[in-house]
Amino acid sequence: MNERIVKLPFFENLLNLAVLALLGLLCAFPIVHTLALSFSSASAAASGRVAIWPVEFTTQAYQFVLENPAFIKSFGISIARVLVGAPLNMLLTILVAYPLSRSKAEFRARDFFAWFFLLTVLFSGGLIPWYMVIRQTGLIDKFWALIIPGALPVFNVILLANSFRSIPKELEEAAAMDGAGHWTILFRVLLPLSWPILATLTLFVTVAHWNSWFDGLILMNSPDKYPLQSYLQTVVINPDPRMLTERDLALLQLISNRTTRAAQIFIAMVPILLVYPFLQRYFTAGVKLGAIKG
Amino acid sequence: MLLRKKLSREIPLFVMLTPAVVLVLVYAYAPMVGIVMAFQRVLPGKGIFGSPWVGLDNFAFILRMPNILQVLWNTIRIAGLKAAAGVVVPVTVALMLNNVTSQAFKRTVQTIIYLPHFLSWVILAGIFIDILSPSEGVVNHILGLVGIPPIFFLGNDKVFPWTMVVTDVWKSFGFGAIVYLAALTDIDPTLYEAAVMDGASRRQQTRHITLPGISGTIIMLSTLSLGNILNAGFDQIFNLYSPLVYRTGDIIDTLVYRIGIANYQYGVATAVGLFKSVVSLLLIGIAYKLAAKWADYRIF
Amino acid sequence: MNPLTGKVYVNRFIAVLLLTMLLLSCARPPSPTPPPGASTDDAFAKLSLVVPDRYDPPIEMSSVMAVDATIKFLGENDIHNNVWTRAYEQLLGIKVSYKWVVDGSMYAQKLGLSVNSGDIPDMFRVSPAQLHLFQEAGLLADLTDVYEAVASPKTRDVLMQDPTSLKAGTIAGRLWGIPLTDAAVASASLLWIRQDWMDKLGIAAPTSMADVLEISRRFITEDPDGNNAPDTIGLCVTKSVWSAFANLSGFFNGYHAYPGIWYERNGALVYGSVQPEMRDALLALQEMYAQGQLDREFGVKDSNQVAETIAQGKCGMEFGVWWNPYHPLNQSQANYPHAFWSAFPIPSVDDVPAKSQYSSAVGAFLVVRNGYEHPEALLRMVNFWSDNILGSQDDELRQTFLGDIENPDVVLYKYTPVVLWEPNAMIDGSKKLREALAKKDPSGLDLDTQWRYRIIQAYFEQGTLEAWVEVATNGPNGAVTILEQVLKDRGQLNRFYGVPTVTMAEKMPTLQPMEEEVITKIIMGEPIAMFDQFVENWYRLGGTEIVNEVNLWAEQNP
Repeated sequence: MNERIVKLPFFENLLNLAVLALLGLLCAFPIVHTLALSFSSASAAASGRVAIWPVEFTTQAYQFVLENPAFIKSFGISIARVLVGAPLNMLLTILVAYPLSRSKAEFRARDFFAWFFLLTVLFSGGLIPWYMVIRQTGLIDKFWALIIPGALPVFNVILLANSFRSIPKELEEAAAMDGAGHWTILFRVLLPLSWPILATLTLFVTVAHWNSWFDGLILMNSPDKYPLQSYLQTVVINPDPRMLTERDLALLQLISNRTTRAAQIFIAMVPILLVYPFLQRYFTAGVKLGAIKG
Repeated sequence: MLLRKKLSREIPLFVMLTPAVVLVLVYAYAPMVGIVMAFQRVLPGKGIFGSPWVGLDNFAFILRMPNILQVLWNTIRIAGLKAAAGVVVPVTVALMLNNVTSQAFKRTVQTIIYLPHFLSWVILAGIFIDILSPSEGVVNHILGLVGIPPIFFLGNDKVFPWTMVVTDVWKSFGFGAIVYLAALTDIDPTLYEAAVMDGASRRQQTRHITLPGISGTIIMLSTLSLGNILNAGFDQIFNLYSPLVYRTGDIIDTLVYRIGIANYQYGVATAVGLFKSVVSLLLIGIAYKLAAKWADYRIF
Repeated sequence: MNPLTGKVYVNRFIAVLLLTMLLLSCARPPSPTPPPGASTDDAFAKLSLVVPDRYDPPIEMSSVMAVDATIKFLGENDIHNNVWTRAYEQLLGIKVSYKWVVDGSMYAQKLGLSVNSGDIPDMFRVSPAQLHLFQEAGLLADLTDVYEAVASPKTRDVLMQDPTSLKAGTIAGRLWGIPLTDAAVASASLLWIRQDWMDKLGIAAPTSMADVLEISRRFITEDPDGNNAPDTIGLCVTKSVWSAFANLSGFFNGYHAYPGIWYERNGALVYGSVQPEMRDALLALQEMYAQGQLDREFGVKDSNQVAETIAQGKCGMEFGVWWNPYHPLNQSQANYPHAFWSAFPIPSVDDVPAKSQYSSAVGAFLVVRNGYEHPEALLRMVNFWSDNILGSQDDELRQTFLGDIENPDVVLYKYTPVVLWEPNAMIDGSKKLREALAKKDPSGLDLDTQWRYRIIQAYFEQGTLEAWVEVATNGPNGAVTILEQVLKDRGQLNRFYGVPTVTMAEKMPTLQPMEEEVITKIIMGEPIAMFDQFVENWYRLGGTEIVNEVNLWAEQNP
């Protein structure tokens, strides 16, 4: 695809690459540091001797984490959460984005619904009523409490609706001429042209599900139902030594010393690291052109 | 007849919206009844309808806090700078990535720069305190090589807000760039082809095709970010601030935290939330009108 | 954490700890007990238990639980079915069921949400602020009468040992919550110094604050770690004045200043942070900072970072509480196996002996829902705990209900919310331990103390270096002996143990950061006039009202 575009002048190109490479290094540092910590001995980590390379190499932290049933269990819950939650997010996003992307002539209530959804982002009644509603609808302590209440990501809806609107009208009009209804236009015309944004939003909802921890902690009635990030929150957050007994401190040192923390964080990042390159294929330009021509 | 036809044409649209509308009514609008708590002294167990009304007392409580104006200003300043940088940097990086011809390099950089998004501030705080240290930190070491005296990034109250902005951008720009990269793909490639025919340089293409092509996305995301103008980033600041920088680093959320959810000041917490919501709504509303009027652009 | 309400929860159940695991090989005691495993129903029959009247038929009681990531279960046990739930059901006839179990960090929030949405357990744990709020909302049962009728002599003794405990659970003359007692004195600051450094440089124990300053100076100038680099720190402090280790309050105490607490002065309660004694201490710290004896960047370092500095072996001195050797001082052995810290009483700046400040240890209460048919059931559970567990010499009983040596990471008492500690027990147990050490005879000690005995012996006889932790706390001249003095006449108790007053709730969230800011900035070189300005501002911005309210409270709670 790039052949049709003039390249940057050599020097500018070099500068461009250099700056990007530098940014890459800056962002890689904490990850590499975390990785190095996870493979270092506990004493080296505690005294801050680890930079970007493991000191006194050991895989003890990983053994410890992977033998911990609570970690494994919560990992599974998080996977299930993503597998169920992300597709549902995407379905609802698509179903809402389409009507909102119509013109006012096509859908007279458009503005009403746009603000109807937008207001929910801005206003909230706070935790208590939110919790009460979830309790009234019988979701407390249920897996679905992690899925249903946040099933419509409004921010993504706005992005997708915007993207739908940028698709040339002629395509829809041509389809409408052939007698296509809204469903056909949405699924046969718009969606096939929207892979890049759909891939982006899929990434967003996957990450959002994977990373949320607060709802798990507050909506589940026992720790064995926590998703991974909620579980990590109970281990990785800085324990306040004043709230713990002398004995707890010692035990926490075991399960939550810097190396095991690093290992847990790293393992928790792996699924996302795997998903990203897969979705990344769709971020490349030119998809739409092919579709229009074809 | 025409009206009926139009309506029947709209019916599928309503069908599409129905599940989401029900969901939002139940899980977003029903809890909004709780906003009345901003005007109550919330007693546990009495619920939203049984707690005594106190008028604007909860708001007065906030206004009576010493330094509240300073805190408000700190919040707006940090959040505003973050919002601005949060648009400029990802857009720039997306454009730069767009200029890269090697797909392998592009993907590698793209993958790496979005990684910091996945580290929590608790973890990052430990790392930043190390690398930003004036005596031992690598950042000051590098600055020293070019003759700049050490800067106490986290302990100097003039520098602290900027440190917050830069570290926040550092954490989120890679993730933000993804949206713009997606938007770049929406640009009609025939425009570039025509430009190449006309002999436009790469830089001219960027200015006349690429930037206008994603301006819609930029306007939209900037507007939405106004909704966060009073959210300066609790997790980040809470983990990085210290007595040395309270003057410029204390924000609404850290203040509310100290008032103490644990002390069950639900009324006060709700009042703060309501205040934030109203301000956000005003700003977004204004931006919405301005965009429609000046840029002839409908945000949503 | 508000220093006025933040409590030091240090319990008295033994720190068998990692240290035990470490010593298991070298100091295994003749173990007469069979491995306990999952308790069976007849497990209780063999024990000699003091059991209160049993409900027949059994009653139901709903409750809620906070756990933390360190909780562990053996075999088939879980939080809903374990030795404690079985004991309550089989011995007391109380079927306890937990509506929910949540991580400790979320307990207060989850309880608030649950109670506010109308889901109130029959019996549960509350914070002081919650006690007052729930009582005002009429949610709690009045426990005054059931306490009088049911509380056993031992329970009464435990609750009376610290006279403020019961008062803290009392509102308008009636008792609403059973205080979860612990030793207040455990929060008193001591001076911890690297003993191996002192020995190396030939430094004697400090007897005055001047000595402290001198030790600090020598620790940075005479290369105590022997690496030929000026990388040591005289006195380690965190950015928070009130941290449980590396705090500043201990230093202030040496100057007769008591930041963050309320004490009596000229017949009225005053707030320590705005008293003139603060000035001299601040000036001394400023001088130490200027000479490089403090971490140049202490102003941004929290306890985690300071723990790291300690692990690097750079710290020479810190003010902290008695259990600091368990964390984080033990980490200085990471790089220096011979590191050894000793506790010293806080020295004084003048002829008047210094007093360590400390606060009430009651950070939580057990309450009963208003309308629950059996409010006395809570007292029966408390009796069961205090009559059988506290002060028990019966190893088998302790193993059944608290945990055993074979599984030091399985702490059984974490399965029940009814856990009280005897305020005096830490001091008493340690005294018995030292007597046994002197006689070289551990017989008659309870199991936990026997373990401490063996650990200390391992240090002296087998040279097990890690065991210094126990020596420094419970050994001869250990930290606990200093706490005895603190209790006698070397302590300054925080006289205010109520919930925050109206103005406190309103102003403290801003006054307190102001206070920390001024203290930190003066130490880092701002002129001392800033303190006088702060005192003036403090009174002007609400301090005057707060002082009045606290004194009014004191009149009502003599």
